[in-house]
Amino acid sequence: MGDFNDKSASTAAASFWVTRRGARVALIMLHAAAIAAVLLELLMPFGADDHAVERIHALDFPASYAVYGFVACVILVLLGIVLRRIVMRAEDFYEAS
Amino acid sequence: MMHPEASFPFMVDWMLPAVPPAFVFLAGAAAVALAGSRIRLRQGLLLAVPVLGLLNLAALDSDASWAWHVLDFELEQVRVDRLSLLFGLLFHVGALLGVIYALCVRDAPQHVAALVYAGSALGAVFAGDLITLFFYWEGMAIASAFLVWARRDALSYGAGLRYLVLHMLSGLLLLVGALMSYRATGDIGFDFIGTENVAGWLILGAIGIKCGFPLLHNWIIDAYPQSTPSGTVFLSMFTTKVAVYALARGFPGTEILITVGTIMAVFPIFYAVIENDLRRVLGYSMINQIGFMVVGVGIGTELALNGAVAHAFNEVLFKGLLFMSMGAVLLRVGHVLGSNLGGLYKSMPLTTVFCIVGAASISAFPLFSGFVSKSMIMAAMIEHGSYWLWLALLFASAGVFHHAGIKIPYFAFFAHDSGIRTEEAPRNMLIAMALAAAGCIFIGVYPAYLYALLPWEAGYVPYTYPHVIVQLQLLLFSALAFAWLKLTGIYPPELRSVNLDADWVYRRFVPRLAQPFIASAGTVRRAAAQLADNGTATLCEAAKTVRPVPGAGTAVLFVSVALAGYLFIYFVARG
Repeated sequence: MGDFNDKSASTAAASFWVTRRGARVALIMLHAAAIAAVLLELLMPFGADDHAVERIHALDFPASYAVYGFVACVILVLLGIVLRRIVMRAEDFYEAS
Repeated sequence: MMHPEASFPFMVDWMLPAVPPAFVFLAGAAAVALAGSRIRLRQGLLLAVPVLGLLNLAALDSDASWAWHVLDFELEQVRVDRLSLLFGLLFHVGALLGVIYALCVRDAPQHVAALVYAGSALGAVFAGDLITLFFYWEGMAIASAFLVWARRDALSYGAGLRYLVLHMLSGLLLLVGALMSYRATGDIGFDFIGTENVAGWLILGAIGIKCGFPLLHNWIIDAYPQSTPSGTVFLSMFTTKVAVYALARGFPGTEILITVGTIMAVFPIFYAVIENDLRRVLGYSMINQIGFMVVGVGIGTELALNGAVAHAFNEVLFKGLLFMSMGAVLLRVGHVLGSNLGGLYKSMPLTTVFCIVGAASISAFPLFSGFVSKSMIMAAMIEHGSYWLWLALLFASAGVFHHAGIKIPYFAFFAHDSGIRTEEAPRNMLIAMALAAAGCIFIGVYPAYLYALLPWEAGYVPYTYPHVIVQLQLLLFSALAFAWLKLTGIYPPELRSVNLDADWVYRRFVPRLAQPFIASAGTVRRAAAQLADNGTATLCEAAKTVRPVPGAGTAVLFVSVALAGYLFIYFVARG
């Protein structure tokens, strides 16, 4: 992982620390691994017995865990942003009183 | 059914009688206190205590009895079975890692408090009755409060006080519940309790506070991040795990715990996403992990209970490791605020690697310890048939990777160059982290060794092709979501702030509500003090006029001794 979102980082810092190139490589590897995990299931589907323990009806379709994981995290972050609007206060909120 | 053999494969007969495990640590704490400022001696003693403790544990005999009669009660100091042995082993391992991590600490009171705390935790898990449990329950509360205060600043003082009040309340509930239970049944033993009567609910409440049940959870978030680097490591290891032990002993199969545990697993992850203090993020993820254990106890099948205690075992290692890595950052940088950190991997490469191992373990990556224990609870949940709650737990599994697995290492060690140039953690801290990391990987790769120690007879095979693949899908796509949200700028930035949680009620709402009463109480107190002052002055003046009586002091002493003797004879005669 690297500094792939900090557009303000100076060139000198970027060359010393996590480079944009390094970040790109990490991102490509992450995508490759994610795709591989899905492909493995599609190419070598689980046997009928394997579904009994780890799957329930709602998630009994190919790559269901991938979809669930992605959607879950997007929802988590979006709700987190809403929660922050409600609960965030200044750092010295309790001390100030 | 619990495993009939109350012993572990490694247990031996040293030809020396074992002592109650708590005593080794309490005696060690006394020795460390006497060692004072002789740092080498203190370090040697610190290392010797858990090692001697382990040797003592290996010699524990399930038939040995340490029963004593106090008043009308027959108390069982040590009860040896597979459940108590598992937690006994766990706490020795945890204490050993903790003392190695804390060796460089110069502050003797911290060392003493840590040993008393570990000893009390051991006393609690081996307690065979509720009164002994209460005794060690309170010992843990007091010793651990000193660890919160160890930082010696205003913030830790306040957090420690709030912590102590809540834990005293927990002790009070336990004591009242225990006495009510004794009155109803005539039995003080600590076995299955259940929620059939009020006593059971009171004891469940006591455990609930220590466990961090929803709305009772804030002491974890409040107190843990205020302690010293090593103090927090110790704090993370014992209190909540003793609570999980007590739940598994007293409330297996209590249905409501499934819902309570699921709430615990889900709600903290939202807070963790927006929290800036990385040790507080770990506090939230701790509640999330305990939630899984509570669910396991609630389901109550052998697989679920094994999963709950196995996950408790693993959590001591991986959460201890994560707190160690953040403690190292705190030591070197002076804070653990995500908003101000970044790029530390260059200065602290080994700490970075150890943190990533802890992160992978808590996220339940295959080949890391969390994978082999959390999945037992998930599988038991499917068997139980609570599909919606199972989906919620799966959501929590993805979420924990998101905040503890990615957020912690990313914002501390990568993200951007924060300009901080520091040095690697001290050697003893690195050794402790390396050992914990090795433990996480070893259990992840060879789960059979952990499974062989589990209390109940339930087999489980974690490494099946579908299980590994679906877990990788879940985690990798969670990581993908993080990356994409970060790239698009949607991910909320780290901000210096405080987030309102349940503690707002007792830190802000109730004090504000009570303000007028406190103000009027102050006026009354001042008036009463004035009155007392005047009264005392008048009395003193009057006393001056009285001639001293010869031998009055001796008479007072005699009366006191007679009264004490009378009380003693009274209790002996009654008992």
